Amino acid sequence: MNDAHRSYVISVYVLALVGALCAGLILVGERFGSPERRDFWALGGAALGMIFVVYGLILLMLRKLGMIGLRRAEVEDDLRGRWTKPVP
Amino acid sequence: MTGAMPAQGDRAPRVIGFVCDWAVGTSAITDGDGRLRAHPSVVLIRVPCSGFIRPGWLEDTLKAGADGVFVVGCPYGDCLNREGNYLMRERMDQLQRRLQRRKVDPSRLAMLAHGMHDEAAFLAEVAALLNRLRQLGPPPAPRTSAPRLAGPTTAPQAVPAEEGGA
Amino acid sequence: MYRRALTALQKFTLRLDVAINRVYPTDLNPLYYTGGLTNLFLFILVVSGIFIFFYYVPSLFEGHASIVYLTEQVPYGGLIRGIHRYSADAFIVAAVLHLLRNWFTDRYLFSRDSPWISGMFMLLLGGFIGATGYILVWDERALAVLGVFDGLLRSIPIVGRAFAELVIGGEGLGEATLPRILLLHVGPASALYVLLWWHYVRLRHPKIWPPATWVLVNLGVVTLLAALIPAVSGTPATPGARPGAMPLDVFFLLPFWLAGLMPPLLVVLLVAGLFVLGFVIPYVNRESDPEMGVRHAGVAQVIDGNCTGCELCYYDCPYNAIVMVPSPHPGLSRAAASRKLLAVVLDSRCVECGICIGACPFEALELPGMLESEITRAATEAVGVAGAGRA
Repeated sequence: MNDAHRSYVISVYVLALVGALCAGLILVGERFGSPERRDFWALGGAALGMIFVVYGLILLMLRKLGMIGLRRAEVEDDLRGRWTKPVP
Repeated sequence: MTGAMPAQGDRAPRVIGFVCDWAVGTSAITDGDGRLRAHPSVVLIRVPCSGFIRPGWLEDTLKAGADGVFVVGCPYGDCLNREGNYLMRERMDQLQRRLQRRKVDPSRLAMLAHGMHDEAAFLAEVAALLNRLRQLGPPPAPRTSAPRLAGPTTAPQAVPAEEGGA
Repeated sequence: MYRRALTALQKFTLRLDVAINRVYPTDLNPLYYTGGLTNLFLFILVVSGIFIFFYYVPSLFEGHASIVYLTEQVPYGGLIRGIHRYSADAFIVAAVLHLLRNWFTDRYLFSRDSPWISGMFMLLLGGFIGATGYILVWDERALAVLGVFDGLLRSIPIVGRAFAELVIGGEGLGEATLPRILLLHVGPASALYVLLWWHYVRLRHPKIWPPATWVLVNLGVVTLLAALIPAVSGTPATPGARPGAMPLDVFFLLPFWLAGLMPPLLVVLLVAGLFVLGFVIPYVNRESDPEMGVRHAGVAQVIDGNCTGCELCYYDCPYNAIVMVPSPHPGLSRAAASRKLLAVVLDSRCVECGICIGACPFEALELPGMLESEITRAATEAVGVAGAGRA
């Protein structure tokens, strides 16, 4: 595993942690939010937005690790003798 | 097969490239004959779209004596005609598999994807391709005798049909 | 002058791509999916809009209050309202990026004027829908926008007054106004989907959605914005009162701001003029025919004698320019003699890309300007040239 891959893997863990934290914040927002204390609803909403962003970025990291697929036609497989560059 | 042949001195592999007119710009990196300045044994031919290439033409180019042949299309996702590079990629896969059965190394055929103004990455990939072709050595000699055909002129006992030529 | 500017802009756009593609895999480059992003934001607008629709009361007395109720009393109501507001801005941003990218990369030539023209209509309609959306909130700004809109429409000679009365729902402000504006908000939004059909009809496999990564990130950013910068209504509209300073939304309200600086008819002519120029773009070629070179090699021609009706070209053409018809007569070659179908190229849809030529295994298609015989001859000559160029 080279440096770039290592940093992607670490990013996935960090992002997952952030996502878990946000899930917790959503629960907090639900528990304490009310029409009189709308800032908790806002907190829950921001956490929800953050979860979407985190999920999207995790997918991006997985793609850069080569773990999730792209169109079959572009994958450099054994047929090509692996002389070309890997997925950027 | 690979590496078993002695290197043919320092003769650079002859490579023909079919370049989509919308992909990497070649006017700055080629001379008047279409030769790449950086690699004079590589000659480029411009075509309207990478999807325009018939796989048969690539095969014909190899038969005409090229060591390798490649097609350059736009970056995946940005084909001017939307799907040409994906389609060419798939045809290239099929052609490589077919030629592999005839003992032609699939690395001799390559599908590249570079956008306009991406000359640096394109030249780097061409250099990598040339290295690979140098390792492979010259292509296998073409068939010298005509294939045996099954038909009424052959002996009456069952003759297995030869793998035909083209 | 226009051509040189456009070529420079094309260079900038494609150079930007090279930079972006160093970071992302090329098929995740967000700029390749500007159309999909626009569609994504439209979808978010429709879903959040339906939610808001259930709470909104289109009346002069309750319009403002119903939205405030939604924002303050309904759990996450304010979030949904904010999502609606920010996706509308994002929709315009994505649509304009889509316009610019397709303009600067020549993606409007030949039969691709169809998506272009439908796209211009959609942009126009989108702007109109956004303006009516601001009016529906029925706060001070809404009243000002409505007033300016009325003035802009009335400034149009002959038909202006009729248009203004259509929009206001009568001769002046009344109980019919907000229901009318609501109709003019939701109706054109539905019409956008009809225009989208037109937008896609000439394309095979249109890129309707961006990749999952970008769907999620953009949905998330819009939600984050809605939570961190809540969308709030101003003070309720009081007809007759003098409006104070109001926040300007540059994506939708620019013409209304301009109307404060120049006569209304001039604003109308400016906006109309811009759109007319927009409609003309696909018919002004950036490059002359010789400059296009191999990209203008003539409409694909079917070689009737060879076509076997295998349909491979039909499936590969990205513009649906090939149709298969029952074969009126048998072909000439052995394989073509027993064909049931014949490929026919529709000239008006062909963009001369040649992808069908690459697909055909029977040599039954040619581009007049780049025949197969020329290609094979060029390739053979090239092998000789390459040999001469060896070290």
